[in-house]
Formats: sequence, structure tokens, C-alpha cells
Amino acid sequence: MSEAPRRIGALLVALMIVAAVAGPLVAPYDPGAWSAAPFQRPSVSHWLGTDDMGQDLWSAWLYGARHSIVIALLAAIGATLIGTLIGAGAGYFRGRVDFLAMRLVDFFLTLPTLPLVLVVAFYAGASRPLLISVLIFSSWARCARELRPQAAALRDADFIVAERAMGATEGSIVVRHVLPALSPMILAQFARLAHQAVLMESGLSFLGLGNPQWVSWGGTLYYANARAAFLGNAWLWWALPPGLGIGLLITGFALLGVGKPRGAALRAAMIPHGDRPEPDPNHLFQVRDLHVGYGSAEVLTGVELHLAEGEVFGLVGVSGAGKTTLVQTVLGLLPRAEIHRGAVWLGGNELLRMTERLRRRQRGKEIAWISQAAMQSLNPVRSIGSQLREVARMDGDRLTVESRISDALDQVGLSQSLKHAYPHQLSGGMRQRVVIAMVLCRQPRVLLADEATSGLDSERAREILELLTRLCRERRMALLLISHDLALLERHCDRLAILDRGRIVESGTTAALLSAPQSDAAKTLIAAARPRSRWLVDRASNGSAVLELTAVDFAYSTGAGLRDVSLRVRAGECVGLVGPSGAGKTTIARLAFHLLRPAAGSVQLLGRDLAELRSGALREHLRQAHLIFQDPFAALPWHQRVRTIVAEPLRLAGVSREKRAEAVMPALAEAGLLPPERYAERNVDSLSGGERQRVALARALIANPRLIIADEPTSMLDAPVKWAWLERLDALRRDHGLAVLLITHDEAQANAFCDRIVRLNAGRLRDDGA
Amino acid sequence: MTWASRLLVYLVVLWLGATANFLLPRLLPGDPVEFLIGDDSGRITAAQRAAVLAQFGLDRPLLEQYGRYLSGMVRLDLGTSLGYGTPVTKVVAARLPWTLLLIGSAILLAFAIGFALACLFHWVESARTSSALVSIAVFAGSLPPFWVGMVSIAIFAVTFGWLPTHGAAPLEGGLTVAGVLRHALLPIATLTLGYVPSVFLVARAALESALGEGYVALARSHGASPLRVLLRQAAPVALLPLVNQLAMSFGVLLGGTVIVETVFGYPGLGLLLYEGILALDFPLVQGVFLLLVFTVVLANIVADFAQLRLDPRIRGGLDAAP
Repeated sequence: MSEAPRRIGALLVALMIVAAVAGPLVAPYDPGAWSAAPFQRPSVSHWLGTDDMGQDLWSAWLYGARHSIVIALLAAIGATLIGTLIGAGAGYFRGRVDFLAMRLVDFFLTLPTLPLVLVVAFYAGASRPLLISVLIFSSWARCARELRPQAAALRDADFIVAERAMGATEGSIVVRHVLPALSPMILAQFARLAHQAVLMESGLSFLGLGNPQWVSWGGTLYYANARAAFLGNAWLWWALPPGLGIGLLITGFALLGVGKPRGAALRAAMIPHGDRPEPDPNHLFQVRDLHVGYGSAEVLTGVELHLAEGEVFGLVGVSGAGKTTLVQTVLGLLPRAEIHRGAVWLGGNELLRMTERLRRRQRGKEIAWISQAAMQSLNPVRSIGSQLREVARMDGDRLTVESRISDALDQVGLSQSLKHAYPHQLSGGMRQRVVIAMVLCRQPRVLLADEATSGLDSERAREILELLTRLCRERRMALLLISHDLALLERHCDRLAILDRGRIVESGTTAALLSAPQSDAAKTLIAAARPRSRWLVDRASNGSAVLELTAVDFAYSTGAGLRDVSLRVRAGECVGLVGPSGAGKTTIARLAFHLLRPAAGSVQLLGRDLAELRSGALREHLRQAHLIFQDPFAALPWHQRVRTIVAEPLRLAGVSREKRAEAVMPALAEAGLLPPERYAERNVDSLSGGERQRVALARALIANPRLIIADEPTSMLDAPVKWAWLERLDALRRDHGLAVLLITHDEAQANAFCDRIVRLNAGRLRDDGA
Repeated sequence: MTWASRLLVYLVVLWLGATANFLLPRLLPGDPVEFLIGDDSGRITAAQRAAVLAQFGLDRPLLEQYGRYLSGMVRLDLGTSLGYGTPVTKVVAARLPWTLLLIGSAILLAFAIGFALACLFHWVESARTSSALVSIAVFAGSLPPFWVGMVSIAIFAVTFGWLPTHGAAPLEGGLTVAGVLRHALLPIATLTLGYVPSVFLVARAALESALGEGYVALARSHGASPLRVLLRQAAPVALLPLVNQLAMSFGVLLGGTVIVETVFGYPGLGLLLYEGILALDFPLVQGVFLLLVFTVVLANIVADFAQLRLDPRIRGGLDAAP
């Protein structure tokens, strides 16, 4: 779907506004005055004819447009303001305010609006201000209801928390970040409210409850209905135009509010042009000379792969190398890309040139897929059993469906009772096994596992890979394991291939490829997979403490939290804080920025207890430290340009606009974003994860803080990008002499980069900084 | 939120609605006597005035009036209609079934048609058709229902004479299924037409977000056809927000009946409210309004239960699996 509906909407509203502004000036007659004989048909002098009193209907239409639009806009503006204030306020500030506001909203939502308006109009008589107030009064609640969850989600969004950690006031956060981020939603609500106001106002006038003095579309229709326009043909020019006017005005507002469309999801892939490369009969599954592109850009260039029965083959490449495009092309689930050349052979069948119907029969039955998002791939409202059954019924004997499901569950090591469970009751690892069980119900010949273990911890990941390789050997399946993580694959694969920027740059047996890599891409991947030795030998620091937690207790309402945590980070040193997920590492980072307050003990930053600082002084003090987040996609505001984002700490410190502009380019260059001019004016949504994390680094360094806390800063980056980023951080740390607290679950990483390591286990930690 | 607290909220809403209903006429500017006896109020004597106030208990302290009002409500005693001279509850009870017939049919039809159209929308999936379908749906939903009603009367009843212009049943010959249906057809069609587009738009968005989910990709990788993906994977998930919308829109539809019943002269609650307003029948208006609030709260409770039945994630029961 195109943007067309929204454009039509804007055009309609604009036309109506022109009619409302200019209408009464160009109207040929006074709509309330006698101008010709009654019941005139449309003519040159009376475009829409006249009514039973000889009044000109075209003039009445133009005046009616002004009435409807003024009422609609004023009512919609008022209701949007109130709804945004209450809804966004409640969601953002939460607590008791939120509870009371939402009960109020519940109450207003339950009131039947139109009867309410009728009753009020009945008791209070008709006046424009009253009518507008009643419309606002009866319609703001839904706006508040719909904005609340959005605002509530923003409150905890990383980029908002980052602002707080940089010492911004709540007021400035709301104005500079919350409202801009909410603005598309607010606009949609405004369009809906205007739409509703037009409908209500015309309905009231039609019921004769408006002021008879007003010339309005609804009023015209009321008279048309009451004065027998429908007995002849007069309704054609008397009643149709005002109705269409209302309809078109509302259509305009409604189309403005239609959400931005996404692409259609069900479309089939395209068929390749050019010759068909023939298969080698010795292989079960082959990709031959495959070229795929989006527009003119080629994403896959001449990819060649072949797998034999029972073989485990690993395909490795950083993100963006074209791994997922390859899988989707093979499956025929590639939206919008063009297959330029090539063939995919499964036995004697060529997949790319099959009809969609035949292709569908191959999927799952011959060639199956376990996706990156396998854990999120189960339907939340259907039981596990029903989902397994649906897949098992697709082929094979219907009578054996139940027994095949039971066998499959046994093989992946899940209990039979899970058939009655729903996905939300299962852990991530269990859901992953269900997806594998689905594959086993079908007994495919080829299995593509695309980052099938991402999101699982390393123990679970190893189990799943072992399960897959065992099943592949037992059943003579060809298994293609795809990942960015060479360390994960090397243990399981017979052969490996390296995919780099759409080309297979190297392939061979696992042992040969690992021992003598030829290409740069392979060398980088292998280097990234090896734990590094520490290149900074104990630079014992005896500087003063920059961050000091003393006997800190903290408890979440769920019971988890910290008990008796002490930690000291000295000036110029890099401390690695390691521990399993859920141990409370992030809690420590939040305590250091006063985003959470300790239940007992003290948190000192640069020698001052945070609990003793007043709000203004606290914000200023916090600017001497900086927090870097895990998720580079969430930690940067998407509605600002890179240069604005990077300069934010300086802005908060009150540095002038010119000075800020001067500082941005060197900061970008320092963080490794070269050339900086290429990045400064862009929005972050066009940047990769690695580039975004460099933007975060530039923002961290621009105001020369004394301490950086980096909370799992590289866990969402590909291996080579990860090491490059950490090396950058380390170089800058030495240049600037700042202290770093690196929070990670990866001990190897901490070993390589930190002067010393402290371990947090189940919320307990004792460290005196020695 | 637990069940008890949820029900408590509804009770509070009901009580607030009733209180608003009580306070509104007393707080707004205007002379109650004028509402009660109409335009002649300027010409009556002080004694007559006091008698009128006493007859309706309006001379008592506000708190006492409120107490009587609430206790009357609990006993289903909503006073006597000025226009009909019979208890409000009786008048209302006679009209209720007709409105329920209209709303019930319109809701079922609108949901079936709107959801089917949304499925069709994703099934067709060519960009131009989709844009056109959305624009047409939006335009159809934008036509004011009273106008649609008027025009359909002009076409089907006046010009062609196929259907009756007003009423709920033939004047003679008693209630027959055919007669009732013939009379209800245009009002139901008008209400449905007004409601289909909003169902369509919500269902379209819900289906679209469901179609982007992992389970759809998984089903497709198992060779499920687009139709199967749509009906077996996306539709069950997309139905959930619609149930919520149903409750939310019940009040809107009830409001719509005021207009549609007025246009078609259909003897339901909406027309009753309108007549009450025109006739300044103060107890009747209060009674109908109270019933409307009550019905909307009931619809919300029903929707909550339906949600609980349909969505396993909030159904509770089975904890973490063995």
C-alpha cells in the first residue's frame, strides 16, 4: 500500500478548510434570505437550487462548511490537549496520579457519549462554546487511554533513562524527547477526534438540538427531513450535498489518521532470470551461482554451496553479509528482492523455478527452517499440541499424527504433557525445542538453522546444537548451520564456509579452514573467536575513588536485588563487573546514577554521597559520569540527528550552540566515525548497531567525564565490530585517563580489557578496590 | 488487576454514572420548573410553583433527593414518565427489545463483514487494491448514519416502495417474523454500514501486526498456504483486540441508535430518549440514560470475560509447565 490515502486525506481537509475560510466571502447569497422561488432545480444562478423557503442551498453549504470545521477543529484541539495531558502524564509519571487518572478515563469511556451530549444539550440549551465544551468533555478519554501505554513505555526507554543519567531535568526530557516521540500518535488521535466531532455536531443539528440560527450541514439536513424534501426529487440537491460534505470532511480526517502501512507479508518471491546452472548428482542440496539483489545493489554474488546427506555444514559471516537473504531465497520467502541468476537444487528438483504451489509443498516437508527468532515463533493463543498437530497433518498418514508428535517430543526431550500447555508457560529453550519438534514431525531432507541459538545462554545453545547434529546424523539430514559466531560452530561442523559481503570468500573442512585461513574475513572471524590475552599488564592504580558503593542493599518488589554490595572504582582504572544474567549488574549501574536509590548503604560519586545532594546539584554532579547502554537501537533517540545526540551532554552543561557545534566533529572522529561529516547530519535509524554504539561512545566522551559505566555495551554487536569498539574505548580511556566500569557476562572480554575483575553473584559482592 | 477490583471499578463507574445523571439537571443553569411543565412556567403563581416542586420532591434538601433517587434506583423505581403517565421502567422495558434487536444484529453483522473484509484485504495484497479498499472503507464509515438512513428511505421506501418507511412492525396483522424483519432491515443496514469500517480498520491493523510475527514465518516455512496462515495463525490472535473494541464501541452504537431510530421512526430506546427530550419528559430521560450506562458497563464485563476465555495468556491455570 502506498502513502496515497494520507495524501488524499490531507488534500480533502485542505479543500474543506479553503471552503470554510473563503466560502462565506464567495457565497452568492445570504443563506438565510429569500433569493428565488422555492424548490428551484440547480441552475447557473443557484448551483444547488433552492429549498422550500427559496433560500440558496449552495450558499448554505458554504456557510455550513465553516460551521462544521470550526466546531470540529476547536473540539479536537481541546480534547487532544486534555487527553494528551492526562494520558501521557499518567503514563509517564505513574503512581497514584496514574491510578486515579485511569479510573477517571474508565468512567468517561463507559458513558454513552451521544446520549450524554443530547441530555446536556437538552438541559443547557444551545450555544457554540457549550457545544464545543460538551464535545471535548465527552471525547478526551479515549485519547488519554491510547496515549498512556505509549508514554509509559517511553518512561523506561533506554534513551530516556540515558537523559536522566546525563542529568537532564524531567521537564526538559518531556519537552525534548517524550512529546516529539509521541507526536505521530498524538496527530492520529487529533484526526480521530476531529472526525468524531464533525459526526456528533452534525448529528445534534440533525436532531434539531442545535441553535436554529446556525447555518450548518446537519441543520440543512434537519430541515430537508422535516420539510418533506424526500417526497419529490428535491432531496437530490437538497440533502445529498451536505451529507457528502460531512462524509468527505470526515474521510479527510480519518485518512490522515490511518497508520503508516507496512509491506504485504504474504507475497511470494520472484523467479530468477537467465540460464539454469545444472546440478552435480553427487550432492543432495546445492546452491549454484546465486545472485540476489534489492534494486541495483547485489546482496548475494555468485554463492555456491553443496551439502551431502548427513552432513553438517557451517556458514559464517558478520551481520549484513547476506546470510538471512540466502536462507529466505532458498525457502522462497524473500519479499521484494530480485533473484538475478542462479539455481537451488534439492535432489533432481530446481526450487527457484517451481510454481509457488509446488514450492509450498517442498517447504517443511523437504527443506525446513529454524529461524533466529524461533523462541518467538509460536502462536501465543494456541496450545503447543494444536500447533504441532497442524504441522504434522500437512503430510504423511493422518492416523499417525499423534504418534509422530509424541515421538518428536521425546526426541527433543520434552514431556508429553506439554501438548496442553501454551507458549507463554514455556521457557525460551523449551520453545526452541518445540520448533525443532515441529521440524521432526515432517522428517525433512535439508534443515537450515539460521542463528538458531541466538538468545539462548551458552549452555542451552550448546545443548540445542548437539541435539540438531545428533538428529541430523541419525536421520541422514543435511544440516546447514548459519551464524556470526565461529566459536559456536567449529565444534559441530564437518565443513565451513565464510560469507563476506555476499560472496563465499573461503570454504573447506573445518580443521583446514581454521588452521590456515586465507581471506581477511576468515582471519578476523577466527581472531574474534579466540579469547585474547590481556595486553595491559596490571596497571595498579592508587588514584582516589571515583565510584564507591558501601554496604549497599537494594530490593525489587519481586524479591531480587542486592545484598551488602561494596565496590570501589579508582581514577584511571578499568574494572570489569562480571556475573550471570539476573545477578544485579545493571542494578549497580542504575544505583551509580541515582536512577535507583539504595535501601541501605551509600553510593558515592567523586567523593560525594548522591543521597545528600539536592536535585540541581545532583544533576550537575551526575554529568561527571556517563552511562553507555547495552542496546544501541534503544539508547539513542530516533527523532534527533547524530550531531544533536552527541552534543546533548554539552547542552545540558549549558555550553553555547557554537561551542557545541565545534566539539561534535572531533568527538565523532575520536569514536571512530570517519569521516565525521558523513554522520553528523544523519538520523540514527540509518546506522548499523556498531555505528550506533560509536555514536553512544562519542556522546559519552564529549563532555570529558571522569567515569564511564558501560553496561554490556557490546553484547548486541557482531564479534569483529565488538573488539574494534572495545579497543577504541580502551585507547580513549588511556588518552583521557578516565575510569571505566565495564559490566559484562563475558569473562573472556573482561579478562582482556580490565585491570581487575569483580564478581557479582546472586546480588552479593565484596570489593575494596585493592 | 484482579477480578474483584475490576468489578469494584465497574460498580464505581455505575454509581458515578447514576450520580452524574442525578446532578446534571440540578447543577446546570435553568429552572427545573420550566423543564417540568414547559414554557408556561412564567405564568404560574408562586403557590402552583411550590406545588410542582413538592410533587417531584424538588423542595427537599439535595442530599435527601439523592437518597431517594438511589434507593429508587435499587428498587427499579425510576419515577413516573410525565408524557406516558406510567412508570418509567415499564415504558423503557417495552422499548428495550427493539433496540436490542437492532444493535445485536448490527454488531454481529458488522463484525462478520468487517473481519471478512480485513482478511480479504490481506489476501488480495496488491498495493492499488489495498489502498482503494482502505479509502472506500474510510469513506463509507464517514457518511453520517442519519444521512445514510434518509437517503436509503428515499431510495428503497419512497422511490421503489420495497420497504416500509418507518415503524417496527406492520400496523395490522400483528407481529410476524417477515414483517419485523422488513421493518428492521434498513435500520440494521444503516447501523451496520456505519460500524463495518471501524471494525475493518482495527482488524486490518491487528492482522497486519500478527502477519509480521514469527509464528507466521514459521507456518510459511512449513508450507502453509497464505489462506491457512491467515485463518489459522493470524486470525485467532487478531480477534483479541476486536473483542475489546466491541465493548468500547457498544456505547457508541447505542448512541447511534438515537439517530437511526429517529430517522426510521423505530420504537426503540433511542427514539424514546429523543421523544423524552423533545417533550421535556425529565424522569424518562433520566431513566433511559441510566439504562444506557448500565448496558455499557454490562457490555464491558461481558467483553472482559470473553477476553479471559479467548486469551490463554491471561487465563491463568497451568503454571510453568513440568
